[in-house]
Formats: sequence, structure tokens, C-alpha cells
Amino acid sequence: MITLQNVRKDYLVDKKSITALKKIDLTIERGEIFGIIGHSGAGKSTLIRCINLLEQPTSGSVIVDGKDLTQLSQGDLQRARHEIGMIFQHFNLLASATIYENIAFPLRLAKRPAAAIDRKVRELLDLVGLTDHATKYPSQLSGGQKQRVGIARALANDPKVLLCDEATSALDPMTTQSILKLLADINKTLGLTIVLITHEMHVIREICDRVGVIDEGEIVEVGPVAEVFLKPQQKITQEFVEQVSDFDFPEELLAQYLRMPEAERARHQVVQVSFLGDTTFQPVMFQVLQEHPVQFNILHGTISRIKDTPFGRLVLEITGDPGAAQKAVQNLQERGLQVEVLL
Amino acid sequence: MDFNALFANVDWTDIWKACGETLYMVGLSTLFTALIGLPLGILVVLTSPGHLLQNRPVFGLLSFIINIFRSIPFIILMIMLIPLTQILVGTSIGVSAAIPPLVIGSAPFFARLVEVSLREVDKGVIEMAQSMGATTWQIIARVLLPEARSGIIAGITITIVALVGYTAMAGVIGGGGLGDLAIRFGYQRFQTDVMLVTTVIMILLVQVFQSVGDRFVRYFNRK
Repeated sequence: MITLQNVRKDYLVDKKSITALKKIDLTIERGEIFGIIGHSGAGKSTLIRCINLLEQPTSGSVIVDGKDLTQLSQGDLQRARHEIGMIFQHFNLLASATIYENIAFPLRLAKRPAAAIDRKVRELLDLVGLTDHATKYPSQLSGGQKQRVGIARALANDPKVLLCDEATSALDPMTTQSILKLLADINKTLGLTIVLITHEMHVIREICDRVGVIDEGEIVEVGPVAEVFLKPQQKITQEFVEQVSDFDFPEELLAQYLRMPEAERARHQVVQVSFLGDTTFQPVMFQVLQEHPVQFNILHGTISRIKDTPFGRLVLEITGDPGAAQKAVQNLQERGLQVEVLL
Repeated sequence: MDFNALFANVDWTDIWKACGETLYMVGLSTLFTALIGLPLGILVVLTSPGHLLQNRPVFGLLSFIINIFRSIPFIILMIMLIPLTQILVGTSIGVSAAIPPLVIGSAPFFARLVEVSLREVDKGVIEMAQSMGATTWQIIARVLLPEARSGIIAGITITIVALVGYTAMAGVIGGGGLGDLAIRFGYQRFQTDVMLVTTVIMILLVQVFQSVGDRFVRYFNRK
């Protein structure tokens, strides 16, 4: 749906050239929610603005729905932008216009007939749950309601792509949840491709299918969210993953095993087991326990969710003959669990 | 002492005539000031660095012209413009002859006020309009002007009040008006009563213009 090829962006600041994006190659599939995470200044804002050419890339091409936007004339680009909705961190609503008029804005730009505009605006007001607020002005709404107006407005021209520029960063946690849920819903019901940028990993975990990590103008890691969560390759990715990790394993637990006499130590093994998806709800451990002469003791653990996928992590103490313990670990791995031996 | 004796020198027919002249001059010149100053202000903002139609030479030139006209004292400007007035109005004396210098004196001033209020418009909202495929023309008509509406109305009010002051000098070219009456009778002939009456009327005029303007600003301000 969206392909960025070799995209580079340089800025001229005080006659010095500053590179915001080094060499971005990225493909975003139709219908997915793709998250881009990075610290402020990493270039994520520039990157999302390159997708609708609010920022003209210095070089490279931006292909959205088969059209290379960098090759279009001004008029064609303006028409192509009707197909790409965008929502913003600070909502960017027209303060002088009512909620109704704010949502009608892109339709008026596209010169739609009045009856069609009215029908569409009412439908969208209903979709975002603001029908009662149609005649109010933005200053009379809360942050979450303003973002709902932003979303309704972005959807007015039935776009194929929705770009979200830090859409929840100015909202409180509860409102963030409801906006994320709304985004996930429209992604499902309208089949809309969503690209969002954020500095908050929980946003990625909540709704994204795939994630790209951007650092100093480069995409350093891309992959399905669950995979990136389980096996972060880059240091920066690990830091982001730790942001939302509720898995705070107390290291001192390991210390007591180190103090054990050698013979006793050999009979104890500490492993970290990660489950993803269906295995979370299957009695995997019980089955393994039945087949091998070992005992499990759960030292620490959590079960959470990555988008719709349940995801669990446990730290186990396996007690028993070293050979049997090793076989048990193998068996766990064969059943699709990720096992990391800690001690 | 009765009322008439207190205002012995005041010829009310003259006063009302002068009042009409002032209103005529303020009204027409406000109209033309808005017609020239608004596009000028918009153009200055759009051509400024980092804006939609950024163009350094045009921006520099416009800004320079505005500064020139803003730095010439109005009374000098009026005399300098006599040849132009002759071409535009066909005469260089009288009420109508005061209009071109009034407009040329106040349009750059108003353009600066327009510029200030357009700059107040959130950059993010302009970016939003661009992202939705708005043309430059649509951004002016549907974003910049509506969003800056109350600021522009406040600017018009300030301009009207300034124009009431400028018209006082129109007497120099036979423009008449309340200010002219105040200078010729009140000041030059020491008729304090005429001075008092004309001044009070001008104060009232300014009060009325200002409060009507404020009302509009309040009505249109949605922030």
C-alpha cells in the first residue's frame, strides 16, 4: 500500500545541512496498522510527513496505492491527498468552525455536493459518537472528543490510508485507550491502512500489527509486534520494550541458587519461558511435567496482551536430574515456547 | 446663564455638516483601506519565509513599501499625494480629495494589523489543510481568514479610530469635518465652546466605533 524507497531528507538550518532521514526503505501492507516508534528527534515526524509529502523528500520515492507522489504535479498531489487522511497530536481543528463544519471541511475542499456532505458528516458524527456535539465549537470539547473530531474529519473523504502523528500523546491514559480502540475498530471495519508514529511502546503493543523502530534517521528494526517484543534485536528496541514491560524479575532470586552447594545446584535449573498466542491457554507445562521426572516451581510471571495476542512470561525453577531437566526444556521448546536458561 | 449663551459661537448647522463630512471620509476610506490592506496583509504573510508562497524579493519589497508609507507623517503624505489625488478624484481639494491620502496612509497600517492576526493562526491548522489537499486559495479563504476573523475585525476597529484622528488633518486640503472645525474655530479663533463640542462629538464617535467593533470581536471569537 505504501512503499518508501531510498527516502532521504536533509534540512538546511543556518546554512548547514542536517539529515533528518538517512535512507528509509519501508513497505506497509494494505489493511495493517503499522507503528513507527522512536525518541523525539529520531525523524519519525519527518518520516510520516514524507508519506503525504507535507515534507518533500530530498531524494527517493514515496509510492502510495501505486502512485509515486514525488512525481505528481501540484494539482494531482492535492487530489491524491484526499485519499490520505491525517490526524495530529494537537488535533489542529478550526477554532472558528463548529464540529459539524470541521468534519465537513475536507468534503468542502473536494467540492462535494451539499447533500452528500450532510449525509457523510452525520454518518461520521455517529461513528465517533459526537452527534450531540455537532453545533459546538472545538474549545467546548475535551481532548479526547477533539481527537474524535480529528478522526472523523480524516475519514470524510473515505481515504485508503490514515496517518496518525502522535495522535494520543496529548491525551490522558483512559482517553488514549478509547482513541486507540476507535482506531482499531475503523481499521477492522473499513479495512483502512493505518500508519502511526509514537514514542510510547504501549500504543504499539495495543493496536499495531507491525512496528518499525527509528533511530537517528534510520529504521533499525522492523517486524511483527509480537516478534519484536519477544526478541528485540537492537539496544534501542530493548529499551522501548522495557518501557512497557510489567515483567520485573527480581535478580536477587537468582543469588540464592548461586549460594547452593555444587551438588545441590546441579539439581536446580532456572529458565525463563515465553508463551505467545494459543499456547498461553494450553496446559503445556502440565503435559511436559507428566512426561518428564522433574518438578516446576513458578518464581515469577506475567500474562499480558500484544494487540489481540495473549502473551505470557514465566520464570521457572526446574528441580530434578540434570539430564531430565534438559529434556524437559527441549520438550517445552518443541511445543512452541521460547525458553531461555537463566541459571 | 442659559444653554445658548454658553455655546454662543456654536453653529449647529455647521457642526452637523462637519459631522457628516467626517463620517463620509471615515466610511469611504475604511472601505478602500480594507480593500487594499487586506490583500496586502495576506500577501505579506504568504510570501514571508517559511510560508505557503515564500518569496524573499516580493516579501522584502512589500514590507519596504509598507514601512515607507507608515513612516511619513500623515499631514506631509497628504500634501505629497496632491498630484495623485488630482488624477484619481479630479480635484485636489474638498472632502473627496481627502480620501486617497487617507486610504494610502491607513492601508499599510491596516495591512500590518492583518499580518499580525494571520500570523496568529496555528501553523498546525494550515498543515492540516495542506494534508487534506487544500489549494493555496482554499487555505486563504477557508482557513486563514476565518481563523483570523476576530483579529481582523479588531484591526478594522483600530483603523477606523485612527482614521477619525487622520480626518482632523483633512482640513489642510479643504476636506472639512469635525477636526477641521475644531482647528479653524476652536483653535485659531479661540472659540473654546466650538472646540469643546467638536471634541466631545469625536470622543463619542470613537466610543461608538470601538464598542461596536469589540462586540463583533467577542461574537466571532471562539477560542
